Amino acid sequence: MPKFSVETPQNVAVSIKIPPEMSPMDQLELMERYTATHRAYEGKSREEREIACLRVLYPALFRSIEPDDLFAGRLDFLPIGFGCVTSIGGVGHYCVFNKLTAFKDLLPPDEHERVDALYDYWLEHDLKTKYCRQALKDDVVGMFIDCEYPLIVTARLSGMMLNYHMLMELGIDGLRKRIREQQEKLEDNDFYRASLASLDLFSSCCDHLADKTRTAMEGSTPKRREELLRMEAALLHIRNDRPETFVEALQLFWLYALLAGVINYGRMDDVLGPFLARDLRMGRLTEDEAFSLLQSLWTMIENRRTTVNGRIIVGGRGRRDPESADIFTRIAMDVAHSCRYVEPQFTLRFDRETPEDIIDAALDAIGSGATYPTLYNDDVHVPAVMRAMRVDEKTAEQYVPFGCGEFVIQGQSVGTPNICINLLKILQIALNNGVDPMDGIDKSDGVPLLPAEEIGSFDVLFSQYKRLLDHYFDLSIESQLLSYEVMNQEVSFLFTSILMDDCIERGKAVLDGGIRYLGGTVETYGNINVSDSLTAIKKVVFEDQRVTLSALRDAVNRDFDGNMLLRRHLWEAPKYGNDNDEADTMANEVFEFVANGIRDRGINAGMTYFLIVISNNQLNTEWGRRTAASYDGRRKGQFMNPANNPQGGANTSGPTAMLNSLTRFDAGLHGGSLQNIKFTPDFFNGHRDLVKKMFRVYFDRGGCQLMVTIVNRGELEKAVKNPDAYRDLLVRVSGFSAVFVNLETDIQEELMSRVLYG
Amino acid sequence: MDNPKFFVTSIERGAYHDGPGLRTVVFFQGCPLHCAWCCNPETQPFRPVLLHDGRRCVACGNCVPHCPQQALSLREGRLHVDRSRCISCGRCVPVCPGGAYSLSSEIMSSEEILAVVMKDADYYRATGGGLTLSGGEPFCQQGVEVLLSQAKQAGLTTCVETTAALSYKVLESVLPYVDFFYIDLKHSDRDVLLRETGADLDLVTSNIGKLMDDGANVTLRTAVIPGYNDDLPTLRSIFHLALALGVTTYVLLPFHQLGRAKYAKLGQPYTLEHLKTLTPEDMSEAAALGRRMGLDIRIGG
Ligand code: SF4
Ligand code: SF4
Repeated sequence: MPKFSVETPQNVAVSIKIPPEMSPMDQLELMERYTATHRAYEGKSREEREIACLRVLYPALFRSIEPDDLFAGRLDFLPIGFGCVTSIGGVGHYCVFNKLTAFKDLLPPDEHERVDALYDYWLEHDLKTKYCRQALKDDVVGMFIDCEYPLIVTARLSGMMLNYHMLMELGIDGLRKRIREQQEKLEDNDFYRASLASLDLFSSCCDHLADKTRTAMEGSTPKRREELLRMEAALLHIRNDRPETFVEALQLFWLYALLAGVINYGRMDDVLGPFLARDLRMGRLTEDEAFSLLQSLWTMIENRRTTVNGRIIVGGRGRRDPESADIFTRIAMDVAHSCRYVEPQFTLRFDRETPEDIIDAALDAIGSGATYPTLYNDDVHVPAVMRAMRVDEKTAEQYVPFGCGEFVIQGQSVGTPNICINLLKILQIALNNGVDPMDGIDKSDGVPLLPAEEIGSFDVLFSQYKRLLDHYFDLSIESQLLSYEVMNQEVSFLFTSILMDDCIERGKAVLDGGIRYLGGTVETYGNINVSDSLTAIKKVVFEDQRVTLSALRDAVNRDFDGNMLLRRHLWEAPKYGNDNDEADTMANEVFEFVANGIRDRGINAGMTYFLIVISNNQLNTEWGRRTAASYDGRRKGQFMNPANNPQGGANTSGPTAMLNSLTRFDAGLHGGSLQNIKFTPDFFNGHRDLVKKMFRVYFDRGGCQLMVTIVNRGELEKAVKNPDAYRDLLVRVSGFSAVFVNLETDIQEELMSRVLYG
Repeated sequence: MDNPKFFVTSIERGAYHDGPGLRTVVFFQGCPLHCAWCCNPETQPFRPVLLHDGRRCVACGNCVPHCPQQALSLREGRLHVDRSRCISCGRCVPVCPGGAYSLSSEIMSSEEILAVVMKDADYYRATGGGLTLSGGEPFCQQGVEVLLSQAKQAGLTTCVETTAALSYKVLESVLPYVDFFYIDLKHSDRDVLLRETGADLDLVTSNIGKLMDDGANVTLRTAVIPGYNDDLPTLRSIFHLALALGVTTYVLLPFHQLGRAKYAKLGQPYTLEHLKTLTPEDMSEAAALGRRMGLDIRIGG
């Protein structure tokens, strides 16, 4: 069995979670009940077990209604339970061991044994642990997030964005009806029965929350009472019926998302816009009330604290009623501007047809330092997604970025990134005869490699690297498929499956053959460090012949100790991000090899798509800590380049040059690629018209995406020295935004190293 | 001479302060004046000069034996450059592990310059931007009219930041190729101007007048320096001069010390350390004055 620690933190968490409302003893009892139920259903179908376990959790996990909430639905998360992602709770029937260990401290010592018993049970039953036992490979394949490995893998069902149109059109009763029809048409099965039971559970959660609204009414002001009455009425309406009003639609969507355990929401303007527009038109709602309701949604999402998720997407092609949707968009833009929360990750899709006032409002919000919205160019993405995912235009129009920026097709595809690959580590291993210079461990996994002494040309070096990459790509597809297999053995993700095409039609859960498009993604790290390394090696070793390849290897392995001159030559070789043809061509060559390598393996394995995403949360820094010095002049332990951006400080040729470099890659080969850029307010706000035109050129040249941080020169440095004065300073790290002063020191350094334009 | 060569100190892309739209600014080596507040002092000499960045120097002594002029020595743990010996041969540059050395400029042909400039053609088209020449004094460069005419042929707007302290013949010869002249008007007092900058006020003003007569698009700029020209009476008389010359487009540049590090790298004293950095807000009174007098005033850039 592979060595691994079940206590390894499973995801990036910058935001501090709100502690459970339930007392520790109540939590313990609930976890025991959950565990007992799980045990009792051993040998029953996974669907029966799942719904029985869900009934233990819900409605028990619902928290009280907070005084400012305008619709209902807040949940506690315990170290043991059911879920689909690692950012809140865990995956399938889960136990988050490090949290369970920490939980113990909340209990009196004589109760610790009870926790230990749970711990032991879940060691054998936690889904992710089961996966790790099968998927990990000593020294080669590690678990999320263990930075000693070149490849890390996990089991999770991230980024599900449900078909809320179906939910709105049918309501809970309509869903029941559709399931029953299919039950008759095909044949009855556990999935259908458990799905119906899930919808009943939904209705009882509505009742439970309606009770909570009545509790909250006690002693409330008349105004608050009215709000709570509206909330109660909405809950009682949507427990069976399809929504009529915006408040009902919002309540239905939210409660369903909570029970499904999804943390990305998708095209809310498309789903909720028509309800909102109608209510405004009919005078059922004022603009101010609409603003407050959306603000309440923003707060609900923020309070879930997922750090890297919470996507709300507005704008773009393929919406059913763009005019109504844009009404939602405009109000949402104001909310994003005024809230300054790190979540939701508010995202604007746009194309040439997007109304000018929406673009301007977006730039205003960005200019205010909100870091939102992030900008996605449909003119590039729609045709790109068609090719990347092999779908038609209508389908591609429903692409949505989730989490750190991976795409799925809303309501139609699974695209969870269960693999992360450190391309730079693999280059170092390729040049060191299979050994990772960081720890001296052989990570070649048996791939035959030439020692540097015998590599006579750049081409031989490059093809050796590609050979090792190919092997790691094989491991990637295997690990992704295995994650689906293991999850499917254990659970059906019932609530999610009900709202994903074509699970009901086929009578199958998402990973059991129900999902229309089975996709997946691989997060790549160090892509630009690799291409800049290759450019530098080509120049310094093979063209200028300053050192031999083996001498270079040795000097870099010593972290340039005694040979800083060599480091300087490497650092001064052409770098990506400067519109330099040599560096950018190399970056593209590496990109195409990696992108195609992953994509082809997915197609061969029968998936609709398996794509790289050049995304990033803060793993570029965390993995960098455990990555040796590299041939681009990067020091040992230093952060790697963020997403599709240059290594901090390497792009010295101005904003247009950087934007030109960013457009070099074929968006039709990846499943999302992130571009960060930093401006001073003087440039961004003082010369808005120029900035707007500059962005337009970038997007016309094939720029797919952009995320903007606005800071003054020296401001980040001041914030480091005096954090208390900068609690309000937001930065875009990559796949998430954060309060700068809450970040760890070297992550702050990475942010500061990025070139500031203006 | 269809591909003249120049000493180029740097090229800045995506600039937004030096003329309309997004621009690429090419900085040249060599200036006839010697303003104490110059923020690009390395561009003043007409030949490349050596910069040595003490913050990057680890005093390893690597460079010392490489200098053919024996201009380098290590004393008391510090590297000294004997400027009187240095001939800017550049041999010390590649051997320094810290990257402490650089030569102030490199030779580039107009073709090479334009190749860089044209990379942003799309941005110029969208924003009405183009090429800006700066320095140094661009008009002291042999062949600058060729570069400018080639830029015009390529469809770019052109802007030149000049002292105008040179013969009108030169300015006249480039008239067809320059869309915007940005000219420094540093002081209105003949003697003070000569003493502090080396410029001849009569020459500068007569050149501006002639440019106006010839229909050129002229913007005047004044770097506002505390204790030199920042008092309202002086500014008023500078503004008067501008109005008398028929120019109304005006830019005030608040004094800053951003060039200070470069003086250290050149081994030259920086004499303005005691002066206060001015903010755009500090300019508001002066700007209001100018506006009352009929000038169209912008602050900064
Ligand atoms: S080689 Fe560079 S670091 Fe060493 S003494 Fe000379 S200037 Fe300083
Ligand atoms: S530039 Fe040449 S002469 Fe001047 S210090 Fe360096 S090596 Fe010596």
